[in-house]
Parts: sequence; structure tokens; C-alpha cells
Amino acid sequence: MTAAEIASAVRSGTTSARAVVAEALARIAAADGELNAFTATFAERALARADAVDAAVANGTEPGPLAGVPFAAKNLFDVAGVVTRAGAKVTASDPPATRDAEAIATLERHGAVLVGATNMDEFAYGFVTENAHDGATHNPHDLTRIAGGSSGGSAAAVAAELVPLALASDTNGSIRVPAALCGIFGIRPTYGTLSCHGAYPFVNSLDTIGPFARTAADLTAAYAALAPHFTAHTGTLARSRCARLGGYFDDGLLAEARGAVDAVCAALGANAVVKLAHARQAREAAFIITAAEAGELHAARLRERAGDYDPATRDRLIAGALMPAAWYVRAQRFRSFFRSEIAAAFASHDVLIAAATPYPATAIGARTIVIDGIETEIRPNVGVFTQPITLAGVPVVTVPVVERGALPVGVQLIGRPGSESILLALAEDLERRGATGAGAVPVFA
Amino acid sequence: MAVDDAEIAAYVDAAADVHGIALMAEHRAGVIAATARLAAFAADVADVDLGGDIEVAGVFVP
Repeated sequence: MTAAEIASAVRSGTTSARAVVAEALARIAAADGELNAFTATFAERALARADAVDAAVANGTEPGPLAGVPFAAKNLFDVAGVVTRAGAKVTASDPPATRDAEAIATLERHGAVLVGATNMDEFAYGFVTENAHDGATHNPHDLTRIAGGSSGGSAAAVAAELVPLALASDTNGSIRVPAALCGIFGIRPTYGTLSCHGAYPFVNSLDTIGPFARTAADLTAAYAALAPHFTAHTGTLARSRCARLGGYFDDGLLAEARGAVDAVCAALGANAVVKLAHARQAREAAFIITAAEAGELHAARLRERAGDYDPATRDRLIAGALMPAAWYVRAQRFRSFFRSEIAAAFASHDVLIAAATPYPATAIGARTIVIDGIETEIRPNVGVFTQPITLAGVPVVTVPVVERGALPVGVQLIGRPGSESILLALAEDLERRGATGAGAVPVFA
Repeated sequence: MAVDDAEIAAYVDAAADVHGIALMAEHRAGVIAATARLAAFAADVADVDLGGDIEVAGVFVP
């Protein structure tokens, strides 16, 4: 069931939140051995919360628009009484969180029920969710393949229909990449729009949080609950003001990803092509800012416990901690410059369109992929199309394109700062017209 | 601004010493490779003509 269907049934008394939550916990117990999407479940807390929702319904109190909707949260979000792991071993001895992260508390104020915490790349520094401590999360569409990262557990849990909604974070693409590879919807909001309070930081000047959902309507409902001043778009959608990103964004991608962009552009009538002259350097600047801020954040622990870090993140964090300050400052100055460049593109267009990843999900453990005859490293390049957009701080909705018998791919709908309502309305429009949609998950059908 | 591998390795060893981070043998090659990638990216970003008095991006201004 979708989140909308669950909330409607719970609010009307057709079913109880307890029954819905118990069923979600049972699905997780049955399926997660194969998926490895969850690192913890909170049955006692979830059932108690569900009972509170049912009591509100019984008393005639408003239970919230997401009444009884089970959701998961990436394990970098604080959960009261639980140690916030952020995918790491070095955090295991930290004291438990004393309160829920703001995003979790907000969703629960709207009636949703947290059922578990999900797997991720250590400290969100990766695109694959092949975690050295917690294992790899498997893609529900093909269990031999990655779910993407760093929010791979949350994305896989939603794609496999274990929960209809999940919370995630996106610094360089950690919502957009797993949404694409798992074939679901995700939103990276405008930087600074949603509170990151209680979310373990990665790169303070780039971090955002956001939800995943299997339908565009559910994504909108989750975002509407999380965003304090959100109002749904009610005006006309000017499809003619959508443009495809060319140049950098049209290089180094496989036919599946290009075909998905073609399909979405065709559905939106996006015939214009826009080039961002410095997209390559924008990705590089995001890379530098990420290494510097994350390295500084972890410098003290790296002095004492470098051997306890995931090897996939450790070396990059150390390199970031040692980086000359001039590289970081130059990257932040370039960021101002690039914001102007993308703002100029939005002078004549409302939405820019690009692939979310250059290829569908790769095999777990694979290190390289051949694109245009060139062997390319997978890990640093999965986010090659999301990282430049990160630098501008603009909102992005990733929409899935799932062809029968093929692995899913995703397309980024990129908007001006604060234009989330337009992007979400476009996603719903595309879904209604069959140009996007999560589709069935063969493994769990 | 081309920087060769030997210069990167020397920088990493010296900077790790200054920062009090002990580079274990199994970390060192990975850290040098990551630093080399950052150096190449930094050089490319440095080559962009920012066109005047561009300030560092404000953290809370998207």
C-alpha cells in the first residue's frame, strides 16, 4: 500500500495503525535477510506509537495526514535512546541520543511511525552502501547489485515495499543516486530548507535531508510534512520552460541512462539544451569541499582510531584533514561563481533535466565499468552528475524510469532555489502520464 | 599547477606529522592517491577565471 492509502485507511478506521506497523515489521523480518537494508528495528517503540495514533482516531482527535504510515530512517538520524551509528564502528561507543532527530519528530507529529534504522556508507561518504561493518545493501531489483548510496538502506527498504517512506540525507547525491538505482522517487531540497538537527553531519555546507517514496504523491506528502512552509503547486506547469542539460551531462553515460533522459525530456517537451560551462569544475569543487569539511570533522578520531574506520572512507578523510586551506577556500569562492552560472540558466528555464547516474546499478564488489571503451572507476563516478548540482544548493527531485526486465535508472529534475513545489508537481504529472514510476520489484513480487 | 607523485607523497608525510595523524603502512598509499586526486581537482578549479572579487559562498545562501 502507498502512504496515502495507509493514512486514508487508518484515518477512516478501516484498519488500525497497529496492524499496519505490525505488518511492516513482519515484512522487514521476512525480507531483510536478503536485502540487508536495516541495521535496527524498533518494534516496541513503533507499536506504542501506533497505539497512540489508533487512540487519536478512536477519540476523534486529528491523527495527522500520515496517520499510521510506517517509515525508516538512515542510521545517521538520532533516535532517542539509541546510539547514532552513521554507518560507523567508531561511533558504537558514543552515548545514546537523548531525543529524536528533528525530521523523525516532525514525521511522527504528522502521524507517521518510525519502525527502523537503515544501512548506509560509513559517515555518508560513498555512493554504493557497501559498508565494511554492516555489509552491503542489496538492490531489490537484482540482489547481486548495489542499492546505491550513501542512503542505500532507506532506498532499498522503500523499493522492496517494506515501508512506503524513508528518511535519507544528500550531500553529494546520497538521495538522488540510490533513488535512481532502486527505481523510486527522492527529493534533495534547497540547501537549508529542512532542519538537519539530529542528523550526524558529514559536510555542513552541503548537507541536506529528504524523503524517499514509491509514488510522487507520497513523496509530496512526506515533503509537505517535513517542510514548514510548503504549499503544493496549483498553477499551470510550463513544460516548455524545461531544458535538457547538455555538454558535461551528456558525456560518459550508458544508453540506459541516456534513454531515460530522452523519455523524460520527450514527456516534458524539453527540446532546448543548456550547457553549464563549468560543471566539471563544480563537481571537483564539491569533491574538495567534501574532503576538507569531513576530514576536519573526523581529524581528532583519525588520530586515535584510524584503523577502526571503513577503509573505503578512511583514506579520503585523512587526505581531507591534511588538505591545504587554499584549495578549500578557492573551491568555496568558485561555488559563488557557479551559483551565478546556474542562476543564469534559470533565467530562461524553470527546470533543468539530467541523468541521476551514468549507469544502472553495478554488481556488488565491482570496482570498474567500461563506458565508451574507457575503463572507469565506479565508486567516485556514480555521483558524477549529482555532485555539480550539489554545489549550487538548488532543489532536485529524482524520478525513476523502470522498463520491464531492465534495471531502473533515474532522472534529475533540477529547479531554482525554493521551487520544490514545481518539481514535485512535475513528478506527479510525469507519473500520471506513465513517463515515470517505480514499477514492480521482480525479486519481491 | 602540476604536482608529481613524489611531491604529493612528501607533502602527505609531512602534513600527517604536523597534524599528529600516524599513517599506517596500509593507509599511506590510499591517502597519497586521494591527495593526488584532490590536487588535480584543485588545479583545475584554480584555473577558472572567476572574473573579479568573488567572495566565498555564504553557507546559508543557496
